[in-house]
Amino acid sequence: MDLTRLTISEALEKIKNKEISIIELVRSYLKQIENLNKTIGAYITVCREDCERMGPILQEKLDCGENIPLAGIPMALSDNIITRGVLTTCASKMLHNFIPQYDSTVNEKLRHSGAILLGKLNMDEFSIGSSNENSYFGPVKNPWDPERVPGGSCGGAAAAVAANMACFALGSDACGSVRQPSSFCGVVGLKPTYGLISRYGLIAFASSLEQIGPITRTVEDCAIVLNAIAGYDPKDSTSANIKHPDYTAFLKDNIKGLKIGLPKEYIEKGLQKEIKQKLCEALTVFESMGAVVEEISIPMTKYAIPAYYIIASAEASSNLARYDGIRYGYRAEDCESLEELYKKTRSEGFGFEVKRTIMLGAYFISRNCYDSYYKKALKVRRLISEDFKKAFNDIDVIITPTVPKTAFKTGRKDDPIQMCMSNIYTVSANLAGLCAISIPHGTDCNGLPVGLQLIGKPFDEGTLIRAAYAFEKNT
Amino acid sequence: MKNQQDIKHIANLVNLSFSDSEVQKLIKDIKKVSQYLMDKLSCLDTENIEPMEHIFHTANIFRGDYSTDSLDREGLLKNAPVKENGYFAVPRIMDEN
Repeated sequence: MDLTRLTISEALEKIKNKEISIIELVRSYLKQIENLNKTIGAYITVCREDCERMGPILQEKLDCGENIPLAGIPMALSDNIITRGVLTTCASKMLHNFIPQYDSTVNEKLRHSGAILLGKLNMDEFSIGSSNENSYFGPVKNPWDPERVPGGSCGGAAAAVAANMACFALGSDACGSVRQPSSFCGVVGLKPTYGLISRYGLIAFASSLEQIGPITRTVEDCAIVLNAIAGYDPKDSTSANIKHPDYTAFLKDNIKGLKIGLPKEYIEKGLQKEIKQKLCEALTVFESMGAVVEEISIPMTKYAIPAYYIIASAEASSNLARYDGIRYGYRAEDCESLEELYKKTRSEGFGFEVKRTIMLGAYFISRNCYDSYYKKALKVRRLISEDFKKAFNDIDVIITPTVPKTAFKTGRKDDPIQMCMSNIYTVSANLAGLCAISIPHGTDCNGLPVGLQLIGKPFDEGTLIRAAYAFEKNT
Repeated sequence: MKNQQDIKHIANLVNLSFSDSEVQKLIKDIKKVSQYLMDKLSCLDTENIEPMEHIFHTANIFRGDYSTDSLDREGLLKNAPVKENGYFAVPRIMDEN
């Protein structure tokens, strides 16, 4: 039996019944990483020794009857999620040697739940990119076809879960960085509602847009992980002080009467024919289960990519101002003045795409451009948000493709706007603070995974999980 | 941002420096991106729309005014590229006089 193929719930069951031990499970994953990482490039750091140490400790606790919800489940985190004592690079030379002295809230929660950290995952440097070709540590390859990209920015996370190199992973999503790679790699990816998951210890890129989200193989696993990481955190002032439900209670194969909206703007030009066909098939499946599908209109979404681009660049240029070579990370040598130290450190430590984003962001918020770019984008954001609010008055869930085209070939990273276009269907959920999930739905003629996106009302992850689970069970 | 001087001005504000070939590439890229954004957004009337900075709240949230444990000083200094007598070290910022 290949243990790396087990879902979280299957692995937990087998550990509980003593069919397998935690250390056997963990070693299977370490072996898989050893075999595949050279080809896929999903991991930047592998925590082999910590895994070997933690396995027996957790097994003993479990054998003594302790209740540990994720005991022994091997997982991995995108390298922009802070891990105490474990190298956290954000895929940048700037942080190539950074060993944090504190933990992100999500890692602390997962540790307390008994999950075992296999390692840290490759990504686009400082989350800037949609193909995972912008990493200081080299690109990530799509496990379905190594000549194609895994998507980004959390390409390593999606590729690792798809190639059975982690039972689940966490990434962060500012415009689709969890959902787009999940779609490209054929796995389940959730962007929770803004505020549901603590961002404490998430290295900031676009603070008003990004959320940490799980990447899993099944919808059930997604609900299990969400239970472990959701909740209010006083350390994050944008964390929502609400009580969240048990998401596994929504794993019901019943969506009778669910009202699903199909935005007509999402199925216009530029959509790959087979993805459109898959979407139509999905609608038939939902209708056969008793859901009601109706066409809706979200006219402002055509402005979502430009608004996102301005807001994210502006926030990134501000967030990345902290890297100065003084307190941690890369520091340029032979600098005589403080100003020279700042400039040389930042110019040598950041990759070109990151520097271009900082420059653009600073330009958008500069005196002459503030109103015409930045303020304009914030106004557009309000219009997009209101569009969705209106749509959700009459429906429960919105259905769209996750991406307009399946995974593209490597080597197209140079055009930033073109790159952003693969997030055209995912970005609005970030601007409007909604929750959204990408679930796999077959493959195209090249054998590449096709993804389906469901968007939900704020804090209504339960309905998303119910709809996604029912779909998964009936396809 | 149309010319070399504009690029150098912004680069100076964000503490970055670029080679001549990078400056040329930035001029091209930034021109292309900003033109695209302007083309897309300028036709949309947003006259009386309130900007939306954030999803939920725009005010700061403060914690109570009490002391708590902070991170360990020695631990934090472990990541410092250069340190001296328990402090982060920087190049001299004042002249000797």
